[in-house]
Amino acid sequence: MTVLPALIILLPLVSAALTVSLSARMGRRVSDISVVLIGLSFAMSSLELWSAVWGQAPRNEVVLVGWVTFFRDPLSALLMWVIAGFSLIVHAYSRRYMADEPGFVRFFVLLNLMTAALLVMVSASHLVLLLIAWHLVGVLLYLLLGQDLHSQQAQRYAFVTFFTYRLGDLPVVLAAVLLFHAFGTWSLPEIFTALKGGSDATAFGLPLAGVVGFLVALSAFARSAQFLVHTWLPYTMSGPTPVSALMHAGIVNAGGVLINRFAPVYVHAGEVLHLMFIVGLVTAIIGSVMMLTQHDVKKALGYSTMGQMGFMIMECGVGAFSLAIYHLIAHGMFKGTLFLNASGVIRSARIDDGVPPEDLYTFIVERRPVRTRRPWLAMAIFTLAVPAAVLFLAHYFVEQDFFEKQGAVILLFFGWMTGAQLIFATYHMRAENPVRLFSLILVSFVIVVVGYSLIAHGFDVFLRPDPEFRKALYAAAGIRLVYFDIFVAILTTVIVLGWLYAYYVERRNMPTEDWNRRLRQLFYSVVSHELYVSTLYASASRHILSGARRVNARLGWR
Amino acid sequence: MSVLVILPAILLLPLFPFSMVAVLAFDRLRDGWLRSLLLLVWTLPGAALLSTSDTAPPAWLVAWAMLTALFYAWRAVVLQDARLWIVFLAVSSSALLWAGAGGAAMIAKALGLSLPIAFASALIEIIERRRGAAHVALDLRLAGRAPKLAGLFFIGLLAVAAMPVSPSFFVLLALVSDQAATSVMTTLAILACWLLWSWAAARLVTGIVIGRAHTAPNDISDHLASFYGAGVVGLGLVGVLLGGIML
Repeated sequence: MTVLPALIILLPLVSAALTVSLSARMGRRVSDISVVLIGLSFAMSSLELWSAVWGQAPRNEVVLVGWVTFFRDPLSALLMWVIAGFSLIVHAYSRRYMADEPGFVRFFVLLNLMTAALLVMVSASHLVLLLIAWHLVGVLLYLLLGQDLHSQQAQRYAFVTFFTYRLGDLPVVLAAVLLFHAFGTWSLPEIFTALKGGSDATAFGLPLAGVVGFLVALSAFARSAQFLVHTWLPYTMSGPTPVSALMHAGIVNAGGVLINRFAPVYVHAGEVLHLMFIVGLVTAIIGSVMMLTQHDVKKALGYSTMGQMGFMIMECGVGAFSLAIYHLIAHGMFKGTLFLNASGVIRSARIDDGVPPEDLYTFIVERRPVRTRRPWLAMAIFTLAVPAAVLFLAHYFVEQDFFEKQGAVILLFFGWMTGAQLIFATYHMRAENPVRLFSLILVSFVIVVVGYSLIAHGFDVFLRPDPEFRKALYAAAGIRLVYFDIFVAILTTVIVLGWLYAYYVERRNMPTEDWNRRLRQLFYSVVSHELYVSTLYASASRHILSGARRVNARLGWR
Repeated sequence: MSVLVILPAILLLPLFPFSMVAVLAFDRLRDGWLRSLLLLVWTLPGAALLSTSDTAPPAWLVAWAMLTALFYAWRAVVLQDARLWIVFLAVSSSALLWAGAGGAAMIAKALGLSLPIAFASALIEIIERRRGAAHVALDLRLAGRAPKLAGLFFIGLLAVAAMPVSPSFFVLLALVSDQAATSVMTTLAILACWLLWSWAAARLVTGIVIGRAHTAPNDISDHLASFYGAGVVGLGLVGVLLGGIML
């Protein structure tokens, strides 16, 4: 059983080697080998997860040779299972999707290598091995996104992705080296054991845990498209659809995985968790706003992923590390399905647009009056009342100090926001039957709040069995109660004011003031230009390049 | 570190403006195979000289070396001629070696940086012989015309840009490790060079490898591809071996 993690990783590598060597003989049927071997890898990872869930094998580290050492813990078992599963789906899908594309064999080789690199990344217990996998994921993604060698656009955006990934590769290198200097080992389990009792080591005159935590967070931000290093994500749709699916379902989550892997560091780096919370919050808001203003559906999907990554980092910021893992799996399944289903939807729409050809139907549909009356006030009260009720009930029936559990309250906020989104996006606050509408909303709230609470607890118990460690993580993420209360008050005020503004504008049909209209136009203009971040980067890049050209010319290229 | 070591070392691992002479000499060298061989060994005497001293060079000298490394890495980003590009990268990496002075395994570090450079230089020589030049302006589109050569060239450039598991990856990791505990600025300079090398390599790949080919494929033979493929595997193995020595 101890060789199981190694076999799970080895099979995609064998698949890549066989694909290269047998492609000339087997032609496109060589992809069958990939599917079978990745399927086998998935079966083994299922076995590994099963043994992790039921505790049938000792959870420890697998040392193969030298640096080639792997974690054998619940986190790696779960993530290996997820990666092998997604990879199997993408492999099976690509057999037909890529059948007529040039570079078919190259694509499958890269897909196999990417699977292996991701598997190593989530399970490596040696820092050098982790760095190798971390770097290779970036290079392989660059090649996969640039699969179409003739598309200038695909190449340009593959390059942007590659550069951002390189930018994100370097902080984690420095973090690894600092840990090595402090503890004299590259082994993560040994480093985490040494960190357990607290460490007074410093780096650059600052506490080591804080510096390492910050550097790891920087790398995670670049990989998970956090605000200011997000510009690559919405533009990566020029790659093949299976790559988009794999990227949005798995690769982009690498940031959350890295932060989870370094969780023992963050117990001693609370201030970095606060930074993560802020960065995640800003990214979630900006990603969501950008998503709503895009005309291109693919870019909108990209920004949607950015928003979700913001939530994931935010969850880490409140100490809910295990919930972030659940979030990345759930989002991966959801987004992967969307991408892989996209071509089917387009095909169906071409065959049948869904509108019956009868004139009578068209007449009725086009002339049906739009329901204008919406239960704004009731809805606003409802969205305020339900979370407040949950909070008070939890206070009286679950734990007296529930108000002081900051992570839980923040997650309740998250549930509240998700619920509010449901009202707008899913139900559109319209229904023929108001009772049914309110029932649906209530059920949604209950599912969101209870679901998140139960799942968070379940994942926490599975991934971090030590209750003291879980408590320490949440404690590190906490801030002084007075600041927390102020923060919650500000958030509540913003949301309530938003409701009131929307209510008055729609219900009272308020005339828009000139300054207000201009302000909104300005806001829309800035947002539709994606906050000018890409423009700024492009301009900086042009200046760097033109400066280099001038200096080269002046020095005669010597 | 004594002046007797510093002065010849500045010439052997040339710092700007002495580096201009090295660039000129390598660029003028017509024979590509000889150039590749020289690129492999030219840093070894300097590294051997630096390894004779147990003490680190003065801070101003390391700063000068890091500025040289950054200067050439930055200028390499816009270069379109692969031959000149590889020489710029060689100068940049030789200057980086100063960051390891006073530490262990200097020869291994020098070899680790020059091996991928020599390998890529040999591939550039093949492209020049087959296409006249390895220049972006020639619109070579190697991926369509010579996929095997394009693949090897791509891997060669990645190895130069210190991607795992090339030897240069482990050397840069070792250099960062040497400096992380002592100098923030030197550490940041090494990391910045790493980033600029990657940027430069990606731009060169885009210019030389990518694009739709309008002429019939004219690739290298299977034997030559296998030979250089074995070279790629060898680079990886040497990288792992050097990593074991240095880390």
